Amino acid sequence: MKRLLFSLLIILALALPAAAQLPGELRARIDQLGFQSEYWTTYIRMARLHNREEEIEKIIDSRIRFLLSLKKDCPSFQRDDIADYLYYSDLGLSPGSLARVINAKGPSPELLHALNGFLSVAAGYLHADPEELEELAEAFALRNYSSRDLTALTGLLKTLHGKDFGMKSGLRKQKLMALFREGYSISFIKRQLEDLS
Amino acid sequence: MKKELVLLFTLLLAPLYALTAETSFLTGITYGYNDNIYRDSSQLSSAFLEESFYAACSASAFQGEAFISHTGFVSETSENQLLMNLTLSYDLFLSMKSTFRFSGEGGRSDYTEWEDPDLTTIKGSLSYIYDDLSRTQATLTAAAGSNTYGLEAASNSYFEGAASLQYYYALDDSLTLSAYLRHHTWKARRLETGHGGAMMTPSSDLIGLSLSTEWALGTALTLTPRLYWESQKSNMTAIIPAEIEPLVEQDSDTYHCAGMTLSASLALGPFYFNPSAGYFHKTYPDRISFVDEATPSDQGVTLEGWNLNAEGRVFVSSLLAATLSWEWDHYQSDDYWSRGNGYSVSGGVFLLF
Repeated sequence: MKRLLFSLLIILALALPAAAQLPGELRARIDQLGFQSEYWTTYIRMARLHNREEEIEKIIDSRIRFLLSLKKDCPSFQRDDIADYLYYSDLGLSPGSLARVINAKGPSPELLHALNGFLSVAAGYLHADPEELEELAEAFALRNYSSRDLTALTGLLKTLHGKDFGMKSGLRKQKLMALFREGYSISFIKRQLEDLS
Repeated sequence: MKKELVLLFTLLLAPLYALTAETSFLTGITYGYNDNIYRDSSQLSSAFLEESFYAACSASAFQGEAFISHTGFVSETSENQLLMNLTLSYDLFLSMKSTFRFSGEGGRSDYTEWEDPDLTTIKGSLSYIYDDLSRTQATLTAAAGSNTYGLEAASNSYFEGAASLQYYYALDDSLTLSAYLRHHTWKARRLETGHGGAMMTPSSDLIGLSLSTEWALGTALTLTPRLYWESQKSNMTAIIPAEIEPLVEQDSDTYHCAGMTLSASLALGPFYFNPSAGYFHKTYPDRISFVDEATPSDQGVTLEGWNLNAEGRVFVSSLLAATLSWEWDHYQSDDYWSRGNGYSVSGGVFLLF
């Protein structure tokens, strides 16, 4: 029994790093660009787990291009924040939009997390498509909103979704998009969204 | 029954097709158990199965909602019930700051195994909403409606006025002050012995105040404490016996009540949890306490009530959710008709499409 467990441990120890190994060419390219991050090994592990091995190279390549474009447009680009930046790529946001947000509001991690939460809720609970997420991000860059405002809206959208099973998601999205784009106060937007439920 | 269902759907679907509307439907099935939830005097305990259907549609300024549910009870002492409700509202935007809202509501509660009593409700209201686009919103509402019961003595009509003011003193935190007045009128009837057999129109006047605040703690938790006070003056003590009150689901006597509730809303990923606790103290100065079903005492009626409830929801996918809810009530009083404990527990599955 002990021998069996020992053998299993050895197999597991050998299999895990192998499963997360980055293809050689991509590894060299990432190193050359200075985009080294734990993110890549985690991503590959997850992609293999979900049988998406064939797409790995293509997707990593598109992510590298996302980072290159962001780095070019955004003077405050931080190598340590790669994982945060790439979350927006997952949502379908363009590097140009993200750069405009960071340039307008500053590169704080708090802001990146608040925008992450807000756009994720808009995508997941309101079914906003990448174009609509882009519009929300653009409006955030242009208008006088803070990361605290995004956090307040994120909490409200989650609560309202729980209250009505998401029945009013479509209408809520329309209202949010229209008012957020025009730069209305967050408390007014909150009242308007609550009024729908 | 079929005729009513067709009417309900026609009313909802006509504006839906006339306008390019956004529509969603929610249907669910819930199994649960009520134990003595309507106080000791009613002795109603039964398992139940509820099927419900909810539809909502909206197009620009128009909104419509319809709700149908059928509750079947295992116990023979509880009557199966069909509920239907339709609400339509239209917003007339005068400007971004000012809105008139016209709203109409019709409903029917049908105890399927009884001839009587059924309940038909109609309500119409007009609201004026003023928002300063920043921290404050004020709403003034005038409404009129009627509740028509199979048991004619209980049928009544009413009109009410309400005002509320919501103020955001911080980004996440608001304070809401509400006040309302309601005048109820029942059908004129001849008084009982001791009053000379005169005709009288029973009526009641209610005034209520409520103060609540909403605290958002991060994106996951919102707390809502609420204080309220109500006072009702009524001339009906001699006319409508206490025993029919659970039937008309309304306090018809003179009373004074103060209470508080604390509710919370917690959202963690696909999990939602909404617990709530409440307490109230109520006195009926004109009512006499009953020791048992038939023996009056010389005491007035004072009632203290505690209530705890909680509901959990989990979204299995964007189309499917499961719910579990629990409620516990405790009413403490010297009056037989007012006291009792009860609980209700139920679980269900809901499909959104």
